[in-house]
Amino acid sequence: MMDLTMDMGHRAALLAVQAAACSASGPPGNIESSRWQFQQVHSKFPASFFGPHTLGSRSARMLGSAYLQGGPGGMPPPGQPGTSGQQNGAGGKDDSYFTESRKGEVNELRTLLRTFGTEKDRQRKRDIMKKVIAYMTLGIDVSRLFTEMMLAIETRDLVIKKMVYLFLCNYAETHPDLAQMCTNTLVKDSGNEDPMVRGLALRALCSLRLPQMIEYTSEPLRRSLQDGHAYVRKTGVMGILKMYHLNREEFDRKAFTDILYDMLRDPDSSVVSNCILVLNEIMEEEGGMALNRAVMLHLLNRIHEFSEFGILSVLDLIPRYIPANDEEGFQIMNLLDPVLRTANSSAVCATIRAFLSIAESIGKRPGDDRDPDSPTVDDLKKQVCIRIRAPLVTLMSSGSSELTYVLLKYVDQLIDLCPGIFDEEYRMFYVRFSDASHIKHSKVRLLAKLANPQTAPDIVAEMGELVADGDETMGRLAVRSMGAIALHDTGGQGCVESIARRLVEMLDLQVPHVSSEAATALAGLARRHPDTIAVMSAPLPRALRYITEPQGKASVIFLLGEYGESIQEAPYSLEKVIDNYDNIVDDGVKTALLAATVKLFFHRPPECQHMLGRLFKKATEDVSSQDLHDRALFYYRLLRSSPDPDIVKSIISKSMTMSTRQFAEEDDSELKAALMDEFNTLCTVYRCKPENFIEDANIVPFVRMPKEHPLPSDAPLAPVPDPGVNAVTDQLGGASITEQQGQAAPPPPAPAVTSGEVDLLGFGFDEPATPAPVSSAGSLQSLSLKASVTLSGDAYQSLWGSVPDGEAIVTPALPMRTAPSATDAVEASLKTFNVFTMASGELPTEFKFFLYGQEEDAFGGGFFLIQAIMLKAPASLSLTIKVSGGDPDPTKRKEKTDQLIELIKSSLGQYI
Amino acid sequence: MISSIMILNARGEIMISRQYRDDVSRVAADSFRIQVIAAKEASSQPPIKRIENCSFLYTRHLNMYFVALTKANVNPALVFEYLYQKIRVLKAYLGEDFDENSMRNNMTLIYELMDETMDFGYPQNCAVDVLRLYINLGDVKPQDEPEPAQLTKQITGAIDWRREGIRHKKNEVYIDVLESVNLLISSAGNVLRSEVTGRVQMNTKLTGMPECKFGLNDKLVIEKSSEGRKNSGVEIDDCTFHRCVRLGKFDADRTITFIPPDGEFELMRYRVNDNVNMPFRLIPAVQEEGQTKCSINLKVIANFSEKLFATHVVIRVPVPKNTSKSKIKNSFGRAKYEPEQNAIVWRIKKFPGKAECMLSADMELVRTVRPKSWERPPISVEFQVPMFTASGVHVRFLRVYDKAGYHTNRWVRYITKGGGYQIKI
Repeated sequence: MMDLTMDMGHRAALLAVQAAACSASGPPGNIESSRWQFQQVHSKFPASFFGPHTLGSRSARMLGSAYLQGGPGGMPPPGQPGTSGQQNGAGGKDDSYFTESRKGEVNELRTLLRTFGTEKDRQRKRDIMKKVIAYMTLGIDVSRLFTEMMLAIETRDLVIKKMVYLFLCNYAETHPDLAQMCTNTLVKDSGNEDPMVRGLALRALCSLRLPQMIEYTSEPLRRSLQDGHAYVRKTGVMGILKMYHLNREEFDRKAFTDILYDMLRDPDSSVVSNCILVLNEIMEEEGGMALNRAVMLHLLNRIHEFSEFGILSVLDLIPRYIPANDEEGFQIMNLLDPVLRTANSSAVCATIRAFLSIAESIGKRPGDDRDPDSPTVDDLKKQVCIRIRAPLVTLMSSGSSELTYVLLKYVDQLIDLCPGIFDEEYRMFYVRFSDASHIKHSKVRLLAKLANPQTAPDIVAEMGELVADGDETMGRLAVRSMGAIALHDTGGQGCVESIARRLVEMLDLQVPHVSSEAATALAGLARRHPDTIAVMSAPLPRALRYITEPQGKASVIFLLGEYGESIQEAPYSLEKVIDNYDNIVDDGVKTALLAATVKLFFHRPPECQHMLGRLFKKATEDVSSQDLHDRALFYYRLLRSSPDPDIVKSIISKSMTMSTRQFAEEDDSELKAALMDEFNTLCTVYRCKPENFIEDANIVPFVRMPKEHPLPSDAPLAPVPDPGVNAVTDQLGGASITEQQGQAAPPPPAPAVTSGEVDLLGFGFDEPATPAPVSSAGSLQSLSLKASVTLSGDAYQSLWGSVPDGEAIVTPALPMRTAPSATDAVEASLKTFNVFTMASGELPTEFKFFLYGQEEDAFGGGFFLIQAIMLKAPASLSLTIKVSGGDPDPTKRKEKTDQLIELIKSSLGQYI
Repeated sequence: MISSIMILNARGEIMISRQYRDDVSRVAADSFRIQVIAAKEASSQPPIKRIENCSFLYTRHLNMYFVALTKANVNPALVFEYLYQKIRVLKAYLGEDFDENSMRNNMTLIYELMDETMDFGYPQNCAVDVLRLYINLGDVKPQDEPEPAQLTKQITGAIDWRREGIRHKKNEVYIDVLESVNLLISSAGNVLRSEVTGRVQMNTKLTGMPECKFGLNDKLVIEKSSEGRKNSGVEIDDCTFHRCVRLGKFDADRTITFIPPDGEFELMRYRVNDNVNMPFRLIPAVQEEGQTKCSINLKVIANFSEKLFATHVVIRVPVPKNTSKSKIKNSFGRAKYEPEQNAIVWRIKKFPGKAECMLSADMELVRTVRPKSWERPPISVEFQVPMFTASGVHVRFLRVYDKAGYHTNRWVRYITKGGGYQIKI
C-alpha cells in the first residue's frame, strides 16, 4: 500500500504541472490507430492484474518469462514462472501472495529505473528498458513507471527512445492523463535535429490515439510535411491518415487533403506512394483519390523510382484511369511491360489488372465509328492475356504453395475472360504428387477448362489416373471434370464417346464415390449428347444394384426411365427398387424413381402397369416428403382423369434432351463480369462479389475517373525528371509518356478552381515548398499553342520581316537567378510548353534564341515569333515578341502576349 | 490494408500480435486456432480462410503461423508477398531457421521490425539491408553507424537495396546456379511433363557501387552475336529478376545489368521447358500376381558424364499398403522397406555418371477383407548432381565495373536437384 500511495502522490504532482501547461482535455473517445498487443488489461489497482482471469493467457506470461530468462541482464527471473500454472489453479490466498511478489518486481524495476539517470553504460541502460518492455508484453501493468520512463526519454540512444515511445503508445489509451504529460516531450522531439528521432516522435505522437491531443498533433504534423527528410515526410503522411480516423472535423479544418495532393510531386517516391494510399483511403466513398491525366502521367513517368511495394500504389490507380486516346493507352502498357519481369507477384498481378482495364478503355466496341482496323476490346484483352501467360506460369511454378493457390484462382478467372489462352500450357497444371490437396483440387478443375481437340486426349488420360487417387474429393473432382469436358464438347471429334466409355468403365469400378460420380456425369452427358446412350445402356441395370450413393442412384434411375425403350431389363431393374421402397432413405432417389417409372410406363405399358400401381400406393402414403407425396398424387390424378391417354403421354414423355449449350445454372456471366472489375482482390479467391463478404463500411466502390479530361490540352506536363531524384532512370526502361495533343479532343474549358477544391492542375516542377507561381490553368484559357508546328527558316525570316519593329512587344530585362549552362536545356523545357526553337547560339556574354509557336486554329492560328536574349552576368532575360496573323483585336493580342511571356517565364522556372 | 499481423505457434497461442487497425480484435486468434490450426486436415486447407467477415491469410515457417488479418478486400498476392518478405527479414536477423525461442528472445526487435515494415496496415520499406542500418537490436551486429542524413536517404532512396560506402578487402563474387528438375513420366514411358526451374543465387562482396553485367548462354543472345553456331545456347522460356536488375535494358538487348545488394541475394529465376537433359532414366516393371504377391524390378541409368557423380540419391519405390514381407536385391546403395512410408527406400550416397544399377523386390501381401485395388503412386527420385545443369544453362561472364577499377574474384557453382521427379508405374 505504501508503494501505491507514493505512486499516486507522484501522479498528482505531475498532473498539476501538466495542467498548467495544457489546459485542454476531453474524454477518451473514438480511437483508431496502431497499437501494441498484450496490453488490453488495465485497472486502477495494479493488484488485480495478476489474477488468473484478467491476465488471460498463461502462455503470454510464460512467453515473457522466457524472454526475461533469455535476455541479458542480472536480475533473476520474476516470480517463479515454472509454477505459475499451479498458482493459477490455486485459491485466493495463493493469489494474493502471487500478486505481492509481482508488485514487488515492478517496484524493483522502479528502483532500477531510478538509477537510470546515473548509469553510464549504454548496454546496461538498454537492458533496464528491455525489462520494462518485456513486462509490458507479458500483460503486466507497468504504467506506474510512467514518470520514470518519461525521464528516460531524454536520451540520444535511439534504441532506448524507441522503447520509451513503445511504452507510451501502449499506455496512452488507458492513461490519457499520464500520456498528456509527455506531449511536450514528443512535440519537442518532433523538432529534434536527427530526422530519425523526428520521424519516430511523430509516429508515436500520431499513435497515441487521444482525441483531445489533436490540437498538439496537427502542428507538428503540418511541419513534418515540409521536412527536409523524406523519412519524416513519409511518416507525417501516414500520421495524417491516423488523424483523419481520429477526428474528421479537425482534419477538414486543416485542409490536409490539398496538401496531400500537392505532395504527389514530392521528389521522394516513398512519400508519394504513402500519399496515394492515404488519399485513396480518405476518399474511399468516391472510389479513391481524384485522378486526372496530369496526375496519372506524372506518376507513371516516375514509376521506375518506386520501391517494391510502393509501385503497387501507382499500379492500383491505373484501372480507374481512362487513357485520353489509344496511343496513350499503348504507351502506358509499354511503360509497364518490364514490371511483368519482376519477382514480386503482387506487382505482376496488379500490372495484369492495369493492362486489362486499359484494353477495356481503348479497345473498339461494336457500333463504334472508329477506324475499322483498330483492335476491339476482346482482341486487345486476348493480346494482353497472351503477353502475361508466361510470367504467370513462371510465378506459379516457382512460387510457394500459398501464392500458387492464389495464382491458380487468377488463371481460372483469366480463362473465363479469354477461353483457350492457357490451353497450350496444360502440362503445367498436371497434379504433382507433392502438391497440397487444395492446389491439386484447383488444378483438376482448371484442367477441364483447358481441353481442346489437341490437348483433350492427354488431359482425359491424366484425369483417368487421378480417379483412383486415395483422396476421395480428388477422385470425385476428376470424374466431374472429365464429364464437364464431354458435356461442353471441347475435346474435338470422338472425345465425347471415349469419355463416355471411360465413365462406363468407372461405373463398374466398385469404388462407391467414383461409380456414383460417373453415373451423374453420364446422366448429364446423355441429355446433351443422346447418341452416347448406346454406349452406356448395357451396364446401367447392374450399376443400379451396386451404386450406393443417393445421387448416383438417382442418376441411374433417371437414365433407365428416360431411355428405357432401348434397355431390355429397365422395367425389371426398377421393379426391384420399387419392391425395396421402404429401405430407400433419400427423397431424391424416391422422386427420381417415381418420375422414371411413370415415363417408362408410356414406353412399355404392359410391363410397368403393376409396379406403377404399387409405387403410387407407397408414394402417396409416404409422409417423409411433401414434394414426393404431391407429385405422386399429381401423376396419379393425371393418369386417372384424363380422357385421352395421348395427351398425358405428350405431357409426360417430353424429351429431356438439351437444346442449349449449357445448363441454366452454369451461366454465371453476370458474376464473371462483376468479378473482372475486382480482379486481383479477395473476390477472385472467394469467387463472390465484395458485398457478400465485406462490411458495407469497408467496401470501396470501383469508380473510374470522369471520362472527360479536366485539363486543357496544353497544360504544362512533361516527362521532365524531378530534381533531386535518383539517377537510376532506366530501372524500368527509360520510356516515358508525353502528351499527344495532336490527337486529343479539343480541350474543354478548364473548370474554375474554387477555393477548397483541389488544385489538380497547377502542376509545376518546382520543389513542393514553392508551388508554381504563375502557370495556373485559369489564366491560360485564351492561349493555346499547337503541339507540332513546322516553320522553315525562310518563312520565319519573312514573317519576322512582315511585322514592323514598332509593333513588336519588348519586355524589360528580367533578372534571373542563374544563367543556363547550355542552350539545350532551355530549348527542351520550352518545347514541353510548345514553344519551339528556330535557332540558338552562345555568345561570350549572352545566349540568343529565336523561338516560335503557333496558336491552335480554334483560337485564331496566329504565329508568335520570339527573340530571347539571356545575359550571362548579371543573369537576365529579355524578350522581343512579334505576332503574325491570328486575332486582330489588339486587346486580345495583348492578353495573349502577356500570357505567352508568363508561359515562357514559368517554363524557365528553374532559372528565374 | 491489413488490420493486424499475428504470429502463432503450433498450439495456436499468440506469440506476437501487432494491431495496425482497431477493427479486428485479438479474440480473432481464437477462431483461427479452432478453425484452422486445430482442424483435422490442417495441411490441406487453402491458405486463405474467411471467418465471419474477417479474412485470414497465412503462411508457415517451421511450426509457426504468420497470419495477416483483414476486413477489407485486399490484394491477396500483396499480403503473401509481404508475409514472405517479413519471414525473409526475420531470417536475416535471427538466422535461417529461427524458432519460437529466438522469437521470444528478440521480442522487442520483432516489434521494431513490425513497425518499420508496415505503417497503419500498409507495407513500407522491407529491404533487409536498409533495415539493418537503423534497427540493430538482437543478434545483428550494428554496422558502422552512418550519418543520420545519409541514413534517412537510404531508407527512402531509390536504390534501397544497397548503401554507399561499402568496403571489402577482397572483392569476391560467388554465383550459384541451382536447378530443380520436375519430371513426370507415364507408366508407358512417355514424358508427360518436363521442366527445369532455375535460380541464380549470388553472394557479392564488392566495394563501392559497382555496376555488374551478367551473361548466361541464353539462345537469343548467342544467336545474335555469333551466327552460324547453331544449337548452342539454351532457350529460356521465361525469367524474373531481383529488383536491382535494369529491366528496361534487358527488354532492349537482353543484357542483365545491375548494382548488386551486398551479400546474398537471388538474382534471377528462370524456367526452361525444352531439351531438358534428364539426369536419370528409370525403367520400372511391376507385376501383381494375384492378391498375395507383387514384384517390382527397377533399372536406373545415370545420364550424365562419367566425370561427374550424383549425391544424396533417394529413390522411393511405392509398394502396396498390405505388404507383409519383402525380399530386396540391389546392386549398390542401401535399400530397405519402410512400412511407415509404404515404400522401399533406396539410398545411394554416390552415384557415378553413366552407371547403371538394378533393384528387384518381391513382396508378400496380406489378404485383406475387402480387396481394394492398389492406387500405384509414382516412384519418386531425389538427387543432387553438382556441376551439372539439366537445362544446359551456364554462366558465360560476369563483369564488374567500378570507379576504383579493382580486381574481382569470381566463383561459379552449379547444382541440379530433383524437384518433383516422378515416374508412374
